[in-house]
Amino acid sequence: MRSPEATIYFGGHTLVLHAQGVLYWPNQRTLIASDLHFEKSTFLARHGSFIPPYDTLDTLERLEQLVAHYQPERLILLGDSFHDAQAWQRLDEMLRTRIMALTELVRECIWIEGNHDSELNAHPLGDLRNSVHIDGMHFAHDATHAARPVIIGHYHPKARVQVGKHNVSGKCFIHSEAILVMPSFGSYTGGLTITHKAIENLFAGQKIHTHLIYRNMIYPQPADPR
Amino acid sequence: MTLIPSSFTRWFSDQGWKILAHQRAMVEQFARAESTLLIAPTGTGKTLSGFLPSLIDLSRTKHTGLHTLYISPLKALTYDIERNLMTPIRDMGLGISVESRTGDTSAHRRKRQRTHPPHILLTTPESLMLLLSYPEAPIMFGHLKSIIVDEIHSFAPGKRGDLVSLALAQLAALAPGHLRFGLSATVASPDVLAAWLGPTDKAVRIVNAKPGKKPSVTLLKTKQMIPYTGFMAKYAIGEIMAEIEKAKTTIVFVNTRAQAELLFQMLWEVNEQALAVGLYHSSLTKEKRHKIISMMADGKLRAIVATSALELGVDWGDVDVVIQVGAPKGVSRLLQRVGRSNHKVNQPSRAFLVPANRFELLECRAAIDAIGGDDLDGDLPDKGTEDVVIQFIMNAACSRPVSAESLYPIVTNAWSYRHLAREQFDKLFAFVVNGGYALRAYERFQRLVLIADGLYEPASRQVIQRHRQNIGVIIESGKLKVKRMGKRGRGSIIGEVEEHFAMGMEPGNTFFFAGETLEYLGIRDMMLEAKPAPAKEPLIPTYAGGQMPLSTFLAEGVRKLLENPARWDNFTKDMRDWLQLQEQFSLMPGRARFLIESFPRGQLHYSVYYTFEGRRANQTLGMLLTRRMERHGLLPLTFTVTDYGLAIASLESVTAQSIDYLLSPDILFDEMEEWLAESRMLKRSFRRVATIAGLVEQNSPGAKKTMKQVTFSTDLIYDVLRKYEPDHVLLAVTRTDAERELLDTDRLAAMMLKFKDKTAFMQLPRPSPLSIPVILDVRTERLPGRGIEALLAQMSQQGMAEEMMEEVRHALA
Repeated sequence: MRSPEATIYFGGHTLVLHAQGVLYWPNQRTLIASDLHFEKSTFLARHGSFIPPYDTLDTLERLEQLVAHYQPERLILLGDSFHDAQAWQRLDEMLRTRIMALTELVRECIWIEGNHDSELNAHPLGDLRNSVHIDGMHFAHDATHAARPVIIGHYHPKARVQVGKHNVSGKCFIHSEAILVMPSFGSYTGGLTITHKAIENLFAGQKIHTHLIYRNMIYPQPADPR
Repeated sequence: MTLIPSSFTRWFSDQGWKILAHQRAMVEQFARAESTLLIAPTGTGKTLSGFLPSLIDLSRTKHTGLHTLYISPLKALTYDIERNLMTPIRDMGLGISVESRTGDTSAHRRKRQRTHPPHILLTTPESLMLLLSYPEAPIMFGHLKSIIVDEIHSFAPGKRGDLVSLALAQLAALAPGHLRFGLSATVASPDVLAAWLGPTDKAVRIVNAKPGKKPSVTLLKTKQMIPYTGFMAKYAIGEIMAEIEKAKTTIVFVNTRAQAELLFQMLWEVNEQALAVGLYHSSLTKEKRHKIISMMADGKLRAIVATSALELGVDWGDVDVVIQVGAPKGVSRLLQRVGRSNHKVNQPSRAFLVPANRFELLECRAAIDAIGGDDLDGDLPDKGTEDVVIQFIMNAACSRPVSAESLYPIVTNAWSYRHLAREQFDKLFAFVVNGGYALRAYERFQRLVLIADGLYEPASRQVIQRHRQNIGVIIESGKLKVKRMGKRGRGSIIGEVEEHFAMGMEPGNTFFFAGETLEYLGIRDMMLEAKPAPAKEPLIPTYAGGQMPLSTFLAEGVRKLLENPARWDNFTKDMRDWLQLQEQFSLMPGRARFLIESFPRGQLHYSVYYTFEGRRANQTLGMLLTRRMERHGLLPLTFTVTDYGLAIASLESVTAQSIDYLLSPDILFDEMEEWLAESRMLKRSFRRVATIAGLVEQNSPGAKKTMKQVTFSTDLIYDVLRKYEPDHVLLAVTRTDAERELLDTDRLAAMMLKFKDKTAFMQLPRPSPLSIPVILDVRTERLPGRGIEALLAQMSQQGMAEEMMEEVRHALA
């Protein structure tokens, strides 16, 4: 079964997972994306790594397209939206304007603070919040936030699936009854396989559901009791 | 003044040696100040030929600083040479200092070598580049008189050769008066190598050593019939063991590491006399490899099963037999392996070939005929790749400020880059400075900063350091060390396996490694832990490297063989039978005829294309043809590829009419573009190119990234770059790299052009004899890890093959 979207039931709500790595909450007309890591390329350039400087542009374009598609009233960015504290200052004028324009397309734009951008300098985005909760659902950057159910980012989860003789790996959504981890949205964000200790510890003893993203389609995987 | 001082002549006679003609010739060349390429078979004192001029010169004239630089592809070789050189130097009291410089050289010694170099420095290409990146380089190399490049035939074609080519050009600028001496095994086109060695347009002279006695190479006669398919020579294991028992010391060469482990196990099972047999391949630890080699040198081993890792340099006289298991893939390659046996110059080397299947037998036969006729092949150095130039530019900048203006003539003075256009060079230079992106995002972070008129230098120490830690063109896949656990939780590292293999195992799985069966315990601290355990359907570690394709030359040899039935007289009866039935039932492919067969089998239709152009080209053709077949409603399903041909299974049958549009050469453009855009090929090449060009690092201070991490990053980068800057210089370099290394497009194109109006199409009612190995061949060597399963698969294939042959006989009766 191939589709760019999958519907799940989490925390008492119906949610739509999209193969681009975003989550849409129809009841609340809210679109959620995590770990954008704007300006990662210019950060790395500072250290001598000259990877193509198009990541912010690409990430932004994709986000704009999804906003145009879902027409949400609220946009939540779940943290690490910027790769480091000086990212805003390094941004091109054109990109700054474009980011601001995006925030104005929705009624409410919430920027959650992550570990990479916790000290973001000199930006006009308003207060970066630690967490937010809406209609019983909590949103935070990582699981240090105690309340449940919670939707978080931070881990950049990737799944690896055996298909016949091939191994397929890709970004994924992973959730249990209490915690849902978003894949990373940024163009240059890598991933941590879900068998990594950090993620395993997060879900110890819980039944988990994985949705693999592969070539713009989303594939629900069989549930896995841990 | 005599050419060769009496002290030297005396020393030679003291060893019981004569100074050979070509050794004398090299000394003459030095005296004439003529750079020279020496073509000499193994075991003819090649090394001494290279160094004799330098030793003599140094004994006569006082020289301060570095006099001779020796470049070899292997560290092991440099250590060996160092040892060998010290003997005459000590014996004659010459007072010449000799040192090695490789990745293993101590920090203290490295520093000293830059300011107080020895007279003779032995090094590898990567270490040489590193030395050239220091500010002391002009002083260190300023008085260089001779450069010796060893085993030149083995690494001139390829990126390492490109690296050396550029290093030589740099040295020419630093020490204009030096001479170059290349040492090469016998090859088909020595003049190309001679051109490569010299500066552009100044090919070096060639000196040919007297050819050794022709080696005796024969097919190993076996009791059991040779199988139709497969890559293991189990049918011949008894006879292989018998030859080992008869000989003093035997080297058994195989083509891949997986084959080495398997063959080693199979020999063990029939080793009734419990003879000492060793195993050697590049994934064993350095210590293990050293151990095996010294045991070999001390005569403690009766046989050694080895991959090509054993080929280069090092001679030990007592090997009397070489057994090549699996087709040799190239004639020159085979000769170099055979040359490992019997180094007494006047006695011919002895070798046996053991093909693993019927087609390989044809290949072996073609190789034997070529040796008999003194025909050679071999890879030729080609246009240099541009990612290496990028690395070179940065390397030069680390030594002293550079400008495009000053560096361009140096680069084009390297033969591999003689055709590099200035415009293109400027793009590569711009890449080094700031990535060369249309989006000028990195101007504030430039790696090279402008200091004066067009002159650039590295922006910081960090840039220099980062470069120095990543010099080289060998990009390795992620590997994990294997730790063999013993008592009390202690273990020793015995080698490495590739990450993907390690990740595919579970506790309880057993696998063959380093000649033992080990049980997988788990991965801890980035190491795979395992303990010796009895075999339970052991897996065989596979490696990404894979096999070389059949050479164009041998392909032609096989075609020649097939079209000439008189040559099948000394084949076994079942081989003759197979080929004769093919002639009766279908047609024989040949040099003037590209045979394509089409027949039904079960529910499917098969079309078989006998190209003989090697697995890479066949793989590419398979991808392209299946695409075209889709487009024309022929519903292709799968295809199998061997070195000899390609078989495509489809729901609709391929007819004489469809062949015309399927095989028109425009397939190399239209379908190629489409396929490349979707496939992983370009990403694989981009990963390699990006790493060599310094876009991503393999080695960063601190954590050494595994290949998986680098791969993931470069895939993302590739996608973004293609989307936003499709004309970026790295993408073009990637394309060239893919075509050459992965796709063999040139070879495929040449074949299609050659056979354009010479296709012979046969519509048959059932599979032909010749098609049987092609359609049954499931890439068993790559896919299943399970040795037992592979054997089972082969057995059942053999059964199927025999049934199919029966059907043909029946049909003809």
